[in-house]
Amino acid sequence: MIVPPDGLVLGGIAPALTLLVAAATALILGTVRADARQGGAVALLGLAAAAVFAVRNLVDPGAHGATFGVQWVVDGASAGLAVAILVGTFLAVLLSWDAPVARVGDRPEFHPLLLLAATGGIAMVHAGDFVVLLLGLEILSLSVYALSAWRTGVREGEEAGMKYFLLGAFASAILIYGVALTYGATGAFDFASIGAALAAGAPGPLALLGGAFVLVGLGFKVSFAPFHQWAPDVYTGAPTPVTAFMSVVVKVAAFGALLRVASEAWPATVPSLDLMLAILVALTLVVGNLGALLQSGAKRMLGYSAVAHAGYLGLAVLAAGQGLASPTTVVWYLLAYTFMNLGAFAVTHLVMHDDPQGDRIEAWQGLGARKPGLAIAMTLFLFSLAGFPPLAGFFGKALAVRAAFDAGWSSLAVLALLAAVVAVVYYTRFVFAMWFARAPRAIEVAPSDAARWAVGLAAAGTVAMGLFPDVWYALVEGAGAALALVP
Amino acid sequence: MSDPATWLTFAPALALAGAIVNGVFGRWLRAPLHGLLASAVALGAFALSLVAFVALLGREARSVAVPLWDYLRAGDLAVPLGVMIDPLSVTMMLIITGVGSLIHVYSIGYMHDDPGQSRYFALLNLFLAAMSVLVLADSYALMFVGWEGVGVASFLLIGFWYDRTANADAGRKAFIVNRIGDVGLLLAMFLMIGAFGTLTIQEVNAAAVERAFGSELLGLIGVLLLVGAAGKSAQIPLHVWLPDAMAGPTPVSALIHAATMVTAGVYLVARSAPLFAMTPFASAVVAWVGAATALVAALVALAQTDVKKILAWSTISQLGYMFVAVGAGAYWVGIFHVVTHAFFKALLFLGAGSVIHALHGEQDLRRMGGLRRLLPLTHATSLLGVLAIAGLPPLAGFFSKDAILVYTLTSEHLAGYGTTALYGVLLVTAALTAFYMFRWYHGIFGGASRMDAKVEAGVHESPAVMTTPLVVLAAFSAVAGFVGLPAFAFPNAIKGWLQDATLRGLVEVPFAHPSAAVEWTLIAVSVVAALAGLAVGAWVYARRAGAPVRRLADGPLATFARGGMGVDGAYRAVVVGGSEGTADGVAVLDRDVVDRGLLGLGSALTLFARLAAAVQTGFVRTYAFAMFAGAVVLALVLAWTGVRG
Repeated sequence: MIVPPDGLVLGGIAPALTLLVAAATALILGTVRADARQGGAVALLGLAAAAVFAVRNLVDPGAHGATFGVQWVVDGASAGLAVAILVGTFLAVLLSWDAPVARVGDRPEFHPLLLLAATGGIAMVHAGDFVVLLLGLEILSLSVYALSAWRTGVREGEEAGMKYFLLGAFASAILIYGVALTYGATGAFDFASIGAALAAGAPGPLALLGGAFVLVGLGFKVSFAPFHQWAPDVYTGAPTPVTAFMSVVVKVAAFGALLRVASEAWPATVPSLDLMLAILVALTLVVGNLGALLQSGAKRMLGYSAVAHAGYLGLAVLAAGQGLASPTTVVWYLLAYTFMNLGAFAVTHLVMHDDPQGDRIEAWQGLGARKPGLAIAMTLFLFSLAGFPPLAGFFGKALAVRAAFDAGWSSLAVLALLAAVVAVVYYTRFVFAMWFARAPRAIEVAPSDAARWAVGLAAAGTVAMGLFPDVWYALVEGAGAALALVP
Repeated sequence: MSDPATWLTFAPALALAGAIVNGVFGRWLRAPLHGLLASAVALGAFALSLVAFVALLGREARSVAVPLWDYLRAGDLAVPLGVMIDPLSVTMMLIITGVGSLIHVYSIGYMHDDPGQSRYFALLNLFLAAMSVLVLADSYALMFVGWEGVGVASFLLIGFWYDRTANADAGRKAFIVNRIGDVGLLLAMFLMIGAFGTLTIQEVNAAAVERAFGSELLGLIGVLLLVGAAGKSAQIPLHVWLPDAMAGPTPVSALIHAATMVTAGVYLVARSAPLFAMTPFASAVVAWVGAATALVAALVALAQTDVKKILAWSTISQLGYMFVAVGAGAYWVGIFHVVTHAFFKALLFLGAGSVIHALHGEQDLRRMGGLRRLLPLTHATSLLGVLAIAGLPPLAGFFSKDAILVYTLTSEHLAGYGTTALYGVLLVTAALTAFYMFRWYHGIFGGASRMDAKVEAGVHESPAVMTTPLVVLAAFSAVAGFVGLPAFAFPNAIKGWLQDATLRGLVEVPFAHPSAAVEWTLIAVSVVAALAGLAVGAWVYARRAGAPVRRLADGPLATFARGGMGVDGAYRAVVVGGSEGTADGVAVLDRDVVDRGLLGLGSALTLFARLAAAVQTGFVRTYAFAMFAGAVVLALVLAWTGVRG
């Protein structure tokens, strides 16, 4: 019998451990028999088991509390974000079930890589210090670099992977440099000690520069402007199921980490850190929404839309980081975003079929008449992303904007509202094409029931979160999402 | 859900399911199936209502709350949704689903050759669902969902034959006028949230009785609720949509525009009874709006020649009666009249529908006559309906109308607001009602035929599927009044049943208690008024065979009345003309200022977007440089502000 060492509470790390075991199992089974379905089945089982542990953490966080000292934090925010990561990964596995990317028989590493990326993401949202954060970030990033270049022999695919890797390495370097500077200034890696040290006296330039570099590194992952430029290119080049996965899971993990750093390591007495974040948020809102305006490919449009949503999430993080709004806002928004964004990519995946150019707006024309079910789902996702009530995206944006008002960032809130008006234009262009334009040719969609299930589940989630916004909010809030704020 | 009364909660879902099946899969069903399915759904809902009724009868505490879910909870604003099953809502549900079922069945015959049947029955079920939500809701928020839902169903059914422009226009008119009323209701809800912090009806009522008696806040809320109620129940000055709404199929007129939806305003006031009981001012406004409507609509009905329009104006007039009752504080009496009116007015409309059906769409009184021999069953049931609405004892209309007259005269709640004058207006209206209903009856069934020979040859009594509902409704029109015998001398079942459900024991509404002799006298007076109306009608129209039915339909006064006393014209001149003038002005502003500005803004945005795209070179070096530049800018921000902390 294995006796865990003192201070190690297995419950807290159980979701990550389960995924790790599932990834190893899938990998070993893959060497025996290269079958993508087998890997997918192991992945789904592992994700379901991990979700059980994550929900247990969410319902009863105290019992599984902090472990490894304070480095692995279990509270409402981390457990809630872990659930979002697991939901996103689950839907991504369903989406890739019949996809050619995963069916390439001699590459059974696809699902293990997905699971490892999710493990890294879960580590990031539970991180209580920079060491765990960096470990999680690298596990996540390296897996996603490989996944985004999955289509070997396709120029855009290889370019996407290379681009993401080079820029990601650059960003990681800056992040690590920032961590080093912070350590130099405060002598600590864990957020609580850093926060206490910074709050104790006027922080010197070293600590502030460290904070700025950490912000740049995490800002790259969440695609804040001007660190966002990889996003549209990589989203377009990567296989669509992978794009769907990274657009939500990487974002959830990085925002989880940013939320914790902003609220625990950066004290409210140091306004310049918040000011930097505010500048990035403003820039992101403008660049993301304007960039999406002229895109005629769905994946590229959704890439810029992902940047725009990072702006809204940034608003919520900004307010929550100052302790002036509940962090539950961020957690709520990220699960809603997982459903609607993954759903939009799932429909795009089905519509593109095998055609790499198949996401252009012409391909969407007449979808409403030919495939009404898919068109209704896509309309739901796009309206939700645009923020129409009573869908999930509306409450997400409303909560974020309200958080910004509460925290006194009224000008940012007004900017966010104006940007939301612009957003309606680029989302409804696709809705218009689906319902009001005539199909130039017969529409064929990928024949995948599993992917249809992913679309259906995502649509159900989008609608349910809009109709019953209370349920998820109460669950996370009830678990004590309130982070250990430093004054 | 072990309590059978709570099963009623499923009625709206049942009706909605019927609507969805007919609406989505209707095109794969054969002709009578649509109607059978929809009728089965309506009967199912009626069965649930009966179960709830029986379950509530046998207990002391007759109010069952079924909480459903919290729609939203933001800060200190909470909107919990739930269902309230009590004698008031169950009474309304019995009428809605009971009369509704009969009308569904009748529609199978009436619409048998219409190609749009699946749409028709889907909408009819949708209406049932929305109306059930309206009366079952335990909060104004959920009630508003039903309120708008019945509005939409009504709009779609008025314009059911949408290929005729007049019908589509009538639907739009109904919808727009109702929206005006909705604004009042919304404002009332805003005030409730502001003052009481809740929209749950019983919490609002409980909070209202805590306020000072007759406070201005309660008066304002009451008047705003009245605006909403007047829109839905076609009271002056928002009554103009109901006569036009007759463009819809006749069963729709019977169900929505006579028996159920238009009584929603009365129900709204009765539901908010404790609030109105605290504010005589708002109650007096309700009563006087009702009285004015009752009289004016009765006068207009005198000059109509369309069999359905006469009934429409009569409905407006009778709704006015109900408003007087709830305004006077006799909430159960208002609902009592809702019940009896639902029976006899649905009967009259279905009778008219049977006549129109037999005459292949003819609706003009001047081209009918003598139909009593050709349509014997329709004639007999319609005659009973006419006598019931005229208020002859012992038919249903007599008891509810008499109760309204007595309670209006004896209301101490409205002391100082002219109860005697209200009584007088209602008495005159009662005589007028008997008069114009006799004219309606005689014009259709009495005297000699004025039909074309060709039409007359094709006249046939309607099939059993249509006449059976007529007979059932006639039976209820005859006996339904016995649940509400005059309380001073006889057992009265409905008062005890409804009194607690409306006022909820929160507050008392005072009435004077005249002696039995006075009560008998009042009864005699109202019977005399009804008889006088009928007698004058007989003298004018039936004195000699072939007397012109046109009488009172010519001359300037009659023309004025036929046009609804010029209200539509005035609206056209003031509201429509004014809006058009404003719209023209705004159009100029829109074209020259807003559009140009927006186009300019659009071009500017596009320019920015192109700029953003231009930076997106695709080269890693550009992107890395942007990241580096961003980091440098952040460092500069720090240098500028940060060190100062």
